[in-house]
Amino acid sequence: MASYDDILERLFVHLRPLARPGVELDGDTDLVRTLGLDSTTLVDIILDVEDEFDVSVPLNALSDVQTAGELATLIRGLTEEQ
Amino acid sequence: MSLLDRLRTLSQDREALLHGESDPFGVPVEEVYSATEARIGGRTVVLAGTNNYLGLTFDPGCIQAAHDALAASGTGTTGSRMANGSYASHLELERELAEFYGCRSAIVFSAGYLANLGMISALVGPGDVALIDADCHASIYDGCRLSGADILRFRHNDPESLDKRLGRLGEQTARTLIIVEGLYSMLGDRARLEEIVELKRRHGCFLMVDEAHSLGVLGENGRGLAEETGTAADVDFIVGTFSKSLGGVGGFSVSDRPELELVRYSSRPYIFTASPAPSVVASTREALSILRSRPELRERLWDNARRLYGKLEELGYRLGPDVSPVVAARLDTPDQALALWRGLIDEGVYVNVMLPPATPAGQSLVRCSVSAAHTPEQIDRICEAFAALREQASSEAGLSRHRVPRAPEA
Repeated sequence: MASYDDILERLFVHLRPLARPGVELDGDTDLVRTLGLDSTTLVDIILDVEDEFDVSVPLNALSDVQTAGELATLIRGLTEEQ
Repeated sequence: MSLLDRLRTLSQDREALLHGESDPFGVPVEEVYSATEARIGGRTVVLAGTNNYLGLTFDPGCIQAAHDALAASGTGTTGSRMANGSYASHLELERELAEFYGCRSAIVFSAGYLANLGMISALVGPGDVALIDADCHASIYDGCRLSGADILRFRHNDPESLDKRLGRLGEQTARTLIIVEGLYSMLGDRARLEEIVELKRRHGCFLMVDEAHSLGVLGENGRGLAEETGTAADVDFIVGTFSKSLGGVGGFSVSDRPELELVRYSSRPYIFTASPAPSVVASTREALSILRSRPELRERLWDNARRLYGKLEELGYRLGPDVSPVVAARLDTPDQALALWRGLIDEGVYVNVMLPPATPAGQSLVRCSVSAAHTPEQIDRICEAFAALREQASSEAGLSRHRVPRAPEA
């Protein structure tokens, strides 16, 4: 079982290309306000994230996700369920 | 932030996109002359963005049928079928749809959008899974949201991506509905239905196919992709619309499953909407009859599609992967797409512009749809307009940013 920190680091690989130069990513990084992701971009990233972690992320669950850390927590929870 | 700030933000986004120039969304069509011509901005244009695939909106038989129904049954039903009852023509249309598809039964909705909302929200619910192609139409997404089911997506037209997600579901596949479209409306590509059906069988789930853009377009009898690919027996529910090939408004589902009849009692978009007006039902029935009896319309449609696709490809426009009546040119930026769209209007051709976030993978599209009613000369006129803009774009001389697109890559 991957730790929260491991999951977060692997998420950053997907999120970093979307961040403006100089923006440091951490668990509190707001996916919409800081990274400027719109809902369509976010759900497209989820397809990559699902493949990365071999887990399915329901779109419904994303409505509670605002930060990279919350996404990591969601993925950890879903991998535990599997 | 106050309640209406969300809408005011849209206004700023709109201004940033349009730079004060004409708005391509909701263009005033001053007069419609025929299935393929209208007056826009005071001039006659060729309509090449209306999804009027069989060109039946001005068919004399359809118009007469609507007139007769209007005189006989009035302007509207003023309520839902659950409350106000079903007119004989609603039941006849459902019988004719079921017979056309060779299915046990059909159910008619008041719009294509409502057909997806109504079917999906009745078929799946909390604890179930809706597993949809990433490029599915907004009505499918909205139906899934209304249902309360878990919404999972697989990569567009990628059976391997679908297989992975089905594999993860385990026994929950018995409570899973896969949803795909016969012909995808943005790029005109078809679902890989044979492979999807194979996965559906192997994993023991259900399958719904939205044939909105493929009814009257694909298949020996015009039933759509399921007919063309010989997979109809494995498709549990087909959904479609009256607003494209049938030239009306409304939607439907057909199925061999007896449970379809029960959808009427659990589908809020069916129960709480006024039923289709008698004139609309009448013209739709006539259009369905024409679709069945005049296969030459489909042949003409495909001749036109091949002609347009071939010519635009030859001009170097980047198009969707399949030849189809939906022919979309892919541009690099929204500005380029808007400039091409405006240039086409100036050349006397009306098409659609499609921009992110409504488009797959953030693409900017200038989308044409051809009709059986287009003459070869009209198709040539559309091609000439694209050619004129292609040449101007290549020259890059004395042309403003918003008037002319950058040359599409070959």
